[in-house]
Amino acid sequence: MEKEAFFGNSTVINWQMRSPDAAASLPNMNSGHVNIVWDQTIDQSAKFGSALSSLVSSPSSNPPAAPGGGDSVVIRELIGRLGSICNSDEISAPSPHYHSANNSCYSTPMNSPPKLNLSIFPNPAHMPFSADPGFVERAARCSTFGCSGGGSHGGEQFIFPEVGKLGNAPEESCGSGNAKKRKAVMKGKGKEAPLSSSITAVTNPPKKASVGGLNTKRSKPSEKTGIEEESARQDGDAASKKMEEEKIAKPPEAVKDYIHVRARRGQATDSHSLAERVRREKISERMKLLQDLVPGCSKVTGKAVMLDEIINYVQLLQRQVEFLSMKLATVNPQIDFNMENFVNKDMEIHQNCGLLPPQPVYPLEATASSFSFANLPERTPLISINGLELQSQVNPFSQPNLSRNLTMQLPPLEGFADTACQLGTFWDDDLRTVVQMGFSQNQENLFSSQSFQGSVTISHMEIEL
Amino acid sequence: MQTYHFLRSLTHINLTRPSSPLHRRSRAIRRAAYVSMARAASPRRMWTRAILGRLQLLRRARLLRRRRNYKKKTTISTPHDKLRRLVPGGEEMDFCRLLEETADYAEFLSKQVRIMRSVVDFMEAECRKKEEKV
Repeated sequence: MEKEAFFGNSTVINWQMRSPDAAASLPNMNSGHVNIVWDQTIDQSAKFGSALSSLVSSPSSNPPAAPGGGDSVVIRELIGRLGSICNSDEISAPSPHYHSANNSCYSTPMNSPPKLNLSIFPNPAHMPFSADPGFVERAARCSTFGCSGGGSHGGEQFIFPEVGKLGNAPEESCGSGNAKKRKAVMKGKGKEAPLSSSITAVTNPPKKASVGGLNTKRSKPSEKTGIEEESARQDGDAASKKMEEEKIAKPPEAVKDYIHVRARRGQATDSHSLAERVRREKISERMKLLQDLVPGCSKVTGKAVMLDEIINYVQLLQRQVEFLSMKLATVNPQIDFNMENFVNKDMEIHQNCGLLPPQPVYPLEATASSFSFANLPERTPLISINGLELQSQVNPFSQPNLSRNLTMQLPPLEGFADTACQLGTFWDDDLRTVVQMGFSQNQENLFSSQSFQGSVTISHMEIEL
Repeated sequence: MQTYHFLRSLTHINLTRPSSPLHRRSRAIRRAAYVSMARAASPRRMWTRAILGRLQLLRRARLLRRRRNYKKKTTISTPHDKLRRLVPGGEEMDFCRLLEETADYAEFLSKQVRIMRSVVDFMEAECRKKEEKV
């Protein structure tokens, strides 16, 4: 109830603030009276009946539970009151708006207006709603009338949610939620601020005030019915405004969210659904990226299967790394002794020239190149790739540097050779001759033809290997 | 870049303790692989930070004989738990970010695998040739 009061107060206040031409008498009467009426009307059918009865009886804040056969009468009376409140001349204008808004608000984004109507009408509890169309129309007119600033839609929205609310509970929730969301969405869409219209309906001049009061009241009863949306709406009138702002920021998504949220009935504040939608799009985008990355996943569709594939792929890669590391542990000791020395000595060099990547590779490649040079001189192009790293580093340096490096390598190699390093012996035997030979060979080929690209060389090495 | 780091650490491992047992060396090599991956990748990535953080933690744990228990406190039960466990640092990310990190991580992982495989092949080739020679 406090929520209702809050809403009512806020709406009343807004109405008072916003409506320059508000008739003093009417708002007072309407805010209180109509609020109560509308609050009650928004309730379940029983409540509606009770509200009507209370409307008829007295503008008491708490509608006594007095459902009865007088519903139709009460409703008619209510309609009459509304009609009196609303100006006649404005009724004609809103009706098309009403329909259009109806279509725009409900059919397009929500596809539910017929549902609403159907839900309402077949409901036996809503027998008195036989007057609904007229009632709704008039209410719509009133609401539209009330929303001067462009809240022509507001009325409809207002009416519809109300009607929806008058319907089943889910309908109510939908309606209330819809109303709320509609307001937000409409605002987001750039329409005449449905929510604002609803609020303006509340806050607008007297006639509108009635509508606004209706809105507020409607919202309150919806809350009373336990629709959290309403309560949430009341709590976060500001929150809803924020949502509206968000929706304004992203109208197209608001539309979708609106549809989605409406279907969900969840409080699902529009901001959340909006963010969720954005998030979902991001996720699908990333999934596509991953699909390209994971080999053999182009035909896979669906997040779950794709996710499994990704997980399998990552697991596979990790297992490969582990297996290869074990393999390297067995193979390594024989070969990589030079590396450290090379790296140490080459660090200065490569720092000078900034050729970082190939540096450590080149001693390794030197061995490879030496092998290949010795065996297959015609394989120079391939070897040259390996040698390229070797050479490329030498590029900025004169040959003597390289040879110096190589020769510097040899003593430690020889030392290692003593430790039963086959490669060390190999180095000892062939390195000077082979490497120098290869070096001379490659120098002409490589220096001239190939440009130094550290990463390229590495990749080439990998490719070649 | 990745190759450089990896080869460097590989040589370091082989130089410092060539006689250590196989499993320990393989573990060290595996760790070196991941670290080289992380060093080569951008530090903006969560997984690189996670790997490097794990490295630091491991070092400190060695000193303090403490395993990384506190890191597992945040348990967000999601349907993507498996992936989260696979990707380092994936525990505290939202799914969207997780996918991004996974893509990056998988890319570097595949590169690392290629590097290691090429090194292994190269070594094996050399050994074979040496045996042939001898």
